[in-house]
Amino acid sequence: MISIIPVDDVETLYRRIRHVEGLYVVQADRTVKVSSAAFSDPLFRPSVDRAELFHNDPKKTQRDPSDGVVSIVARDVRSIDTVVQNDKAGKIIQAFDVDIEHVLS
Amino acid sequence: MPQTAIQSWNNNYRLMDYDPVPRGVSKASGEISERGTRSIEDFYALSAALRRFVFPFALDTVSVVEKGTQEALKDTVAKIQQLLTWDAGWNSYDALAPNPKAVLHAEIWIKKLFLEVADLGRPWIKPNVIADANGDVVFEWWHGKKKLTIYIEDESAEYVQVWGTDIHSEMSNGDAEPSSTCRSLWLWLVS
Repeated sequence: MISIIPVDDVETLYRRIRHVEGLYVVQADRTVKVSSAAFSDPLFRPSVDRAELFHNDPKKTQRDPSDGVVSIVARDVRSIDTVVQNDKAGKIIQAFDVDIEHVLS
Repeated sequence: MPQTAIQSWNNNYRLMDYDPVPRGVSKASGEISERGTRSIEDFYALSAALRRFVFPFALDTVSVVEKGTQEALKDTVAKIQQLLTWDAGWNSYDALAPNPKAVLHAEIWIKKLFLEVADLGRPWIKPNVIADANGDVVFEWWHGKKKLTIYIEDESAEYVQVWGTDIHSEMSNGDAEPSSTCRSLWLWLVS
């Protein structure tokens, strides 16, 4: 049985960034650029952790001490609207709704 | 009476012999090689990307341009090929293993882009190389506030260019296969 619990707009979400060359890049000025590939998912449902359930401790999202963790806010995720996929002729072939769901399985 | 040569159809009979210029065996060979390399350097004198890479090579059966491309992209191609060693789940989530056909396409695409950049006479910037969770190959460049991302699938290449955070007015995407698009994207990135 799967139950879905709403996630509030102000909630912080964690995403683990594994220590893999290319998944993030440390630039010359020491800033870190995270690859967009770090957020991809074959089913368009990238997994995140709700920070408040982890007592706002990103270490609990790590699996390995070398893992990085980035945080995003639910409202910012939901503000990504009108995402569509076009074919080569520019015709819309798929529209995406962006949201966050808490899934218990 | 004129003599007529008859071509042999025996495949084992070599009608023509070809010997590449030997390297480093005589002074004459060195001079020929040096002159040839110098003329190629002159030819590509306006190409900032290739100019750095044509100097070390002697003449050989593989073209100097090809060798220059191989040398310039050595690290990048190694990173692309390294993707083939990754298993499913490499990102610690549900990523698929990189698709070998996408990896092969990525090698071809990046060489094509490099030659377009060389032809433009613009500097080359090494890309970040990564796979995505769908098994595609991803190239990324950050330059100031601009970010260019290329997603290479087995039969297509798509670009996303970003110059701000507004998804409606500061991002664009499209087909990254046409040479004209590659050129435009690079000029945009490095401008």
